[in-house]
Amino acid sequence: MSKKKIISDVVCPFCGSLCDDIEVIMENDTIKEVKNACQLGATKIRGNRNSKRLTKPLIKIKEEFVEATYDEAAEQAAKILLEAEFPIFYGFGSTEANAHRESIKFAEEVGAIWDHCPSVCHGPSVLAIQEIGIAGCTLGEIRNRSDLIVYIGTNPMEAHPRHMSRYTTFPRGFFREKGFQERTVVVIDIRKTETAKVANHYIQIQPNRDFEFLSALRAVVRGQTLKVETVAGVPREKIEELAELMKNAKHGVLFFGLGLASTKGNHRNVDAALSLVRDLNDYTKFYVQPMRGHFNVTGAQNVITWISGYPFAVSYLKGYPQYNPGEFSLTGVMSRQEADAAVIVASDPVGNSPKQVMEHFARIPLIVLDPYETPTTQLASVVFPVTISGVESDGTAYRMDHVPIRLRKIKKGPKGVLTDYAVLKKIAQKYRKLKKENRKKAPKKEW
Amino acid sequence: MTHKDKSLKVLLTTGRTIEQGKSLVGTKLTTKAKQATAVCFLDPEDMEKLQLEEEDNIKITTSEGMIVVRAKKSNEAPHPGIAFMPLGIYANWLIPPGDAGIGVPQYKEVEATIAPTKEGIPSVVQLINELRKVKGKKDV
Repeated sequence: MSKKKIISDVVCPFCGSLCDDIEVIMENDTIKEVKNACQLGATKIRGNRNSKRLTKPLIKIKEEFVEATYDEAAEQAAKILLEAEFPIFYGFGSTEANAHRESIKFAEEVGAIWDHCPSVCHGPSVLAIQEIGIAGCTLGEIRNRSDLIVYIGTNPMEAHPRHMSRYTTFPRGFFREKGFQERTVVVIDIRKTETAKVANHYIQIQPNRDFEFLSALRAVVRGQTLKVETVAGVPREKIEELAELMKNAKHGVLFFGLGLASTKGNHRNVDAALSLVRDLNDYTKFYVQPMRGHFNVTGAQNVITWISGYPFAVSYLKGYPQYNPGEFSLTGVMSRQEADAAVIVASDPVGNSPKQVMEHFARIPLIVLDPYETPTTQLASVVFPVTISGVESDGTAYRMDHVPIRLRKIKKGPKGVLTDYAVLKKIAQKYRKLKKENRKKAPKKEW
Repeated sequence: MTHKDKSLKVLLTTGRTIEQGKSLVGTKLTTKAKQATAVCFLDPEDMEKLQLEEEDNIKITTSEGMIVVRAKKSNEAPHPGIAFMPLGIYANWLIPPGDAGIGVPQYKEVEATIAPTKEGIPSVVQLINELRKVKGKKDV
């Protein structure tokens, strides 16, 4: 007889929304059904039908992968790191906080750069937030109080599919009993996205004109009169209407995505958005939040900040933390062909980076920890299979509003497969051992 | 003007789609990823200008290189002059590392030229093999 089990309150490990109301129906220890999740979450928890899972550590010998034990692979990885002069640790958006902590400790020991997903994503947002601060609140507060939701340069219907239904637009809240009937949604974008289609107001702006648009909106909010007919392709009346809508909200929130942070102006665009919200707080309660992509990119940012004092692109090359995104971010060190080895955890930078970065990944030895085959594992020198955080192992993740949530283990991983944390620890142990042996072997310096 | 001569200057922007998101889970090397990400969504007017039909192959060229993908009519039109590609190795083949001095790639609004082509779309594995040919490899 088949054994059926329902696991409730599962936390979805896909996007930064970290929905924690997922129900998983298990039959004989395999996932039968995933309830409440969006398409992305259900796919992540259940896996694609033809997902190619890694189950054995692999070492590349003469361009061919050879199966190995974790110890052998860890030794090979330690050797690569011992020889490297400019190694980089990168990834971490899709793993839990213990793995972050262990990797940072190890990166400091090795003398490496430690960087994670903001350097290809919300890095500009982080820079702007560091400069002028952020008026933030939790998603729970938005769900219960917000009557005006503005999305700029972000398309949650495709990137965070339950964001609107769970936190912002459709749910009934403590002070918003009628749900969406008591809320107004505005979408500002260059394309009429799926999100724009369900919004009350859609404002189409011209590409690369975000800073101009936000500055004009800010001026109107502060009581200035625009002397031009259109700004960034938006008629003056529409900007005035939006300013009034924002000033008259009881509790407003502005969400922004890479449509703001990745376009011309980068951190200056985000700066304009944060400043707009600061100005709006002279009239009403208004908050602002970046839409974070991977489920634990906010966690990685928190962990590196409490350890090193800096949020991303941290260099331990000199033995102490230094922060300079242009110099130490993944894209910087790889496109300038500086790095000579890389440790990649829970990320696929070969698939996700600009071509110049991909090319440099092909030049240097890579140590990769991933549950699945990816373009990055294909170019790797050593591959470690790992469990999927939040499905096959537990841990802590931070939601996009910086709320830490405990991930649940739903099922066992493939036999013998370790967690990211355990693998990093193993490599670090081997590294220490080899370093000690090398020191003993090295001839004594004569002074 | 012959079919071969037609080309159009656009701003290429990249972003997430549901299909792209689903293809991330263990199928990044398969045809599922190719199906989801080797595609470019164009404004119907722009497709008309290039005399493109749905699913025709197009060659997109930027400062970084060129790639062949399928053209599809955008559901998010009108946005003449803007071409959208889902995130992935195909789009990133065209993305410059960025020049803002903050180490962040220029994933949005990249100047690109689109032209119809009879060439085929490479598979993800073919693109990785292309990367393997890169010069200046470090021996392990």
